[in-house]
Amino acid sequence: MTEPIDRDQPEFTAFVAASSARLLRTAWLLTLNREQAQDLVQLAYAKTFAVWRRVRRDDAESYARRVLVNSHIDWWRRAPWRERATAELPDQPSNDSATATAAIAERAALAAALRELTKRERTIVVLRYYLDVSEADVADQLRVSVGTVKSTASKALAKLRESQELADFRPLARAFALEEQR
Amino acid sequence: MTHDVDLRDKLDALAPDLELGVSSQTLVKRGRRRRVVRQSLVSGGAAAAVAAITATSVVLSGQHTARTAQTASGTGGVAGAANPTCGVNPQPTDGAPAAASDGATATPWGSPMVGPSGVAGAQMTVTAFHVGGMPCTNVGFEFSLRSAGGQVTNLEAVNEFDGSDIAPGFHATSLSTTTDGWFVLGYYAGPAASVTVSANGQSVEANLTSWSVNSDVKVWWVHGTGDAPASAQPTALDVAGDPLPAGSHATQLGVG
Repeated sequence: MTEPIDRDQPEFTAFVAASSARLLRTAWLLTLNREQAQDLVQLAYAKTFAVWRRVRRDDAESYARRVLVNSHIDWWRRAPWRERATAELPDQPSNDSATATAAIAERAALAAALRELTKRERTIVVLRYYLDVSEADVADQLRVSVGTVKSTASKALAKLRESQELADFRPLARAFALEEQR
Repeated sequence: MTHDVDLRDKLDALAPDLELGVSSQTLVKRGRRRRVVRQSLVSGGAAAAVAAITATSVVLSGQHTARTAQTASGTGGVAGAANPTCGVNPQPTDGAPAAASDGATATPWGSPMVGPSGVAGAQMTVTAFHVGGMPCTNVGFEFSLRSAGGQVTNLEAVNEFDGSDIAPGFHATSLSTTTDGWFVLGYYAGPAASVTVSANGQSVEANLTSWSVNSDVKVWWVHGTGDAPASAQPTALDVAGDPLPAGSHATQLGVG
């Protein structure tokens, strides 16, 4: 039986396959929630396909990531009910080794520490220190001044460094301190 | 990085491996809907200025744009509300609700239109549905193939989004490509007795059938195999064989 074919679809499908893992990770770090991360990435892809012919020859992933971040910002500003505190922890494979157990504990502590940040602080941390977006671009995307980005990032790193959740993970806290000094 | 713990690596390791949750085909469908909403919102402001009747030349541009039924969220429009700038098909009198945003769950409006599809073992079925949220458009049409065994494959759901949905001429002309060839399809508003489509250097007479709710609305389609046409030009004749206006809603496909 026939199936409708969109000529853009194979190229777009390949793009989704190549980029979805990265975008999902970014979305999860922004939301710390599995379902919201999926919603954000699906929305970003739908919006990207709507302008696919314009962006496919440029950096489509950058466009999709920008849509994703903007949608996240829009959600927290306009629909705070979307944000739900959850006890969700990252799903990671585990085994009985002490090293693996320590790594799991560290991830859980980091996730808990990230939850202590405000949404703006967490977004700036993800943009600056995960996606390596420049301060100027973060400011542009969040529609705030560069000074606000700097001060918010500094405050967020300080909160992470001093978080009781990370009290047992000194190397991690030291990493925040070092990022703060850069 | 000079420090012993790389923050980026820690964040990367923190995020779990997630599945997208939907297929890329679903994302394509959602993207198409957004594309059409965007187009309708952009073109809506200019609709009142559209007046000239020009020859319709459908440029397919090697691209395929599905035009799906829309509930244009955010427009605040009331389906079929009186609008001084455009004529519009009547609203359903049988209480048929507006289509869902993908048209797929639309309640049929009027009698289904059936005809030969050109694909062996399959008939074309066209179902009208009520489009909500657009001031100058009330009706859309869903084109589907129905096999002898009753299996239905949806091809396209189309509707006008630039001005009146009953302005004389062609509307919502679209290309649909399938594994069994391609279709150029749409509808004509006016007393058309025949529609001919020029595509790939050939003229093909389209299948034509009237909509039961408004007999001046004629749904048409042509089927072909091989390469999908880069352009297609439909023309309409009345019962006397005289040409009818192509209308002012020439469909430009492939708008990104």
